[in-house]
Amino acid sequence: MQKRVFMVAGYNTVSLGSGRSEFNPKKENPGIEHYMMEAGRATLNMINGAKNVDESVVGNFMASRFNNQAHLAAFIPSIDKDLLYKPSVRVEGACASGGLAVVTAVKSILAGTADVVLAIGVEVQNTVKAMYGADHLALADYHKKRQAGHAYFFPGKFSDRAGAYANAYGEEYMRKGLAQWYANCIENARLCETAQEYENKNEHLIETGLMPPDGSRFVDHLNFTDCSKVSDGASAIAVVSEEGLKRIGISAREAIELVGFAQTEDNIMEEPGDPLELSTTKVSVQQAMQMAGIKKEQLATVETHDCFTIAGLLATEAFGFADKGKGAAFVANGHTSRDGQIPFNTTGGLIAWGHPTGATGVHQVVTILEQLSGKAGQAQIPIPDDKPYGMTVNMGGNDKTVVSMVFKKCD
Amino acid sequence: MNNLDRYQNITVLGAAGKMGSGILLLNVLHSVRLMHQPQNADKTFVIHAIDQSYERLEGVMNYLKTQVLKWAEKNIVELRKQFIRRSHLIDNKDIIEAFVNDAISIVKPSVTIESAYQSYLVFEAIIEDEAAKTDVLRKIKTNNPNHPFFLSNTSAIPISILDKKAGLEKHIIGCHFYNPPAVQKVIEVVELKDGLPELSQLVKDFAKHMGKLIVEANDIAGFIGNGFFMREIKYAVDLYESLKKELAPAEALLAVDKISHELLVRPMGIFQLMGYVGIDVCSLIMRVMDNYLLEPLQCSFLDDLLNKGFRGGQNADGTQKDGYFRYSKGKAVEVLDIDSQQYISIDTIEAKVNDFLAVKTKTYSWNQLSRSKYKEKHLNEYFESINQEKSKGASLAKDYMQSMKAIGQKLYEDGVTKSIDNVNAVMMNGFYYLYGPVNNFIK
Repeated sequence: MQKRVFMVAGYNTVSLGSGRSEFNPKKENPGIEHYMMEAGRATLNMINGAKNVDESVVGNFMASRFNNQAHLAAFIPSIDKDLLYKPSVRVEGACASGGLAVVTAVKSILAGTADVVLAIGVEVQNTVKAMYGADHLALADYHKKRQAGHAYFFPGKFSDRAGAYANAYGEEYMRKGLAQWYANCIENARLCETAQEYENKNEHLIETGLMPPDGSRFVDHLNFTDCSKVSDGASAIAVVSEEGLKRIGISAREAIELVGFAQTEDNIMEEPGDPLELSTTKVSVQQAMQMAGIKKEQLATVETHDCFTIAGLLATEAFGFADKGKGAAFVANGHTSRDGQIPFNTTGGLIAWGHPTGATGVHQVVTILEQLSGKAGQAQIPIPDDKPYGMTVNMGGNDKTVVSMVFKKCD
Repeated sequence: MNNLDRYQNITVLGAAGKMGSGILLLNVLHSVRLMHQPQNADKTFVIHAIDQSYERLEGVMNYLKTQVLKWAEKNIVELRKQFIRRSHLIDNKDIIEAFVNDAISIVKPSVTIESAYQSYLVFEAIIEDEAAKTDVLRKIKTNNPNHPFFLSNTSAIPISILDKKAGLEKHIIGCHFYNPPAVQKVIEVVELKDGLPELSQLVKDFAKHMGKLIVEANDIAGFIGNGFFMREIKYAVDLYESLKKELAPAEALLAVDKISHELLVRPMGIFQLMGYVGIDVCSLIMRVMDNYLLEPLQCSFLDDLLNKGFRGGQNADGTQKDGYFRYSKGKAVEVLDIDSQQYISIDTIEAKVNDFLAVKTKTYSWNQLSRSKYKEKHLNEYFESINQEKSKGASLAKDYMQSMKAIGQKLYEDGVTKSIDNVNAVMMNGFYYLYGPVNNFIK
């Protein structure tokens, strides 16, 4: 990269929704502006004020339907009066909107138009019941596919992938992997106070994860436990240049450096060529690692887009940690757990931390920042000296928009 | 005429009542699903909802909209498949709205009996009064050229009496739903001797389509459900009178309720259940049954309460009216001292009642066990421990259980049902008991 780019001052709100004791679906819950202000102000406080910010980016998927609100960039000045009249933009790429927000901020730094960019991701989804939320989320695929699609459109899409996986490699074999992915996520979320499943008390996680799906009530090949949460929340982070770090008065040791990234797009009008593969994710991961000049063995941890447990399994294969068809065994054998060969989603991922869609890509970067800078609290995993890298993969739609980023711990 | 023809023009009498509105909802859900089958695209389905006033009918139409919407939301996976041919409906929201509109459009509210004169099926859910039922059924039979089938929701009056007195020529069957009909799984079906096989088959098909469980009862007043419930009320009242020798009235009432609720692991105690159904309704059913049975069932205890103005039952919003208990946020907080006609805070007397019962065995809540995979095991262990216990509460609970078993067995011996299992099935599915009253828990 022509310039060094750093991530610093990350903040996650609580991921609010079912599972959190403070959540009551029958009462009015905080709106999108509340989350933007909470996350934005927390990050601004850490970088010594909004006066240091040159530009802002907000990633959001579907406020226009969940909240009857568009034009989110114009909410940025409500976060702080020092953001008034400064450039601000909203970006959208379905569930990869957060990742796009970070990448857009990075490009401003690289282009030299800014040294400090505030990147926020936000989504508030608990405004409607699940069956209506499914309508909104279905817009992440080609609208002409909706009519023939499942009532729960995206669970239906990933259920089809799980069905193909089960058909190719065995139902029981796959289910063991999915159950272990679910169990890992819940156990990790119990270590993170902002996680939606932080209070989960289930003592029989594997047993729960092994329950056979019921296609008459939901989808054919996935359970509710295989799905990410319906969440409200926001995450924010400052994306800065070396000059930016000086301006905000924070040392590089408290930051992480972006050393490679890729933003990869597939044709939304076409179905995946091979349902057994996250092809776009695979290309995206390879491009980002190539740009960073690292191998997967140098990664200490990965935050991947497990909107469904099957997406987690397929991600291990897209990364090359497991061969094609071996992801279920790789996960079932504990290699992705927090003390495994490559810890994935150390605060619960989308399955258990939560999935406020537009915020997820930013949340993933905040998690990597916390892990690599040693500030992950109870959820902290060891970062070996020979593995100073962490990576995020943020996916929009059915593997259509993918943002991958490689970060390095700063010495 | 086949069943499908009959479903095309239905009447629900008493459609705005507690039971009638539920039966109407069931029929609406049944008919709208028939309507959506491709082979029925050219057919018209009509349900006449008849009641006494448009005000009551407006209320029931609102209830229908809410309930059909909830049903559609819950069953969106199935609905989406059914609606696949309607290509202009894209979102779940579009499909749910279309389903609700289709369902509501079937219903024709009416305050005149003439609306039933074209129907092929007549569901009757009016007041539990022989003369009133006979009068309305006779009018329809006389004026309706379609030889309609009558399905009566009576829970107390023998079907053969209605058949003879209204001149229905065996075109009637007892079809006793439990409250709320859309939720409760069981339908108590009472066929006439030499009744029409096609009527019996129609009820079976309807029940199967709606996922209901049919339990057959014979044509003896009260059938299984009320045959059991009314006799249990008498037992509970006698027990209350007996405990009043040792406890204050409110304490005795609370003690009986606790025995029948907590110690028998039921969803609610017998006095709470009476209040839920309505003290007036219980009294009416007893009086009606009394007309047809040799065994005296009428209960002056209930009549006295009614005279004092305590009726129980529910408000329009589903909250409980004052009866044996007063409620706050759905929970009983005060209990009636019948003698002084004053309500007393349960908190102030509960400890004394618990001391009186002095049960040492750890009880399970009904809620807890109803969701447990190990329900049977826990029930066995619990009653085994109660069997061993010498406390007053355990002794009263054992007596109560034995008396309930005797009531169930007597229903069988009296010919109300051909099987003990039917008694248990009605009490478990219609009253949400975790186990049938005829059991071997108590040795």
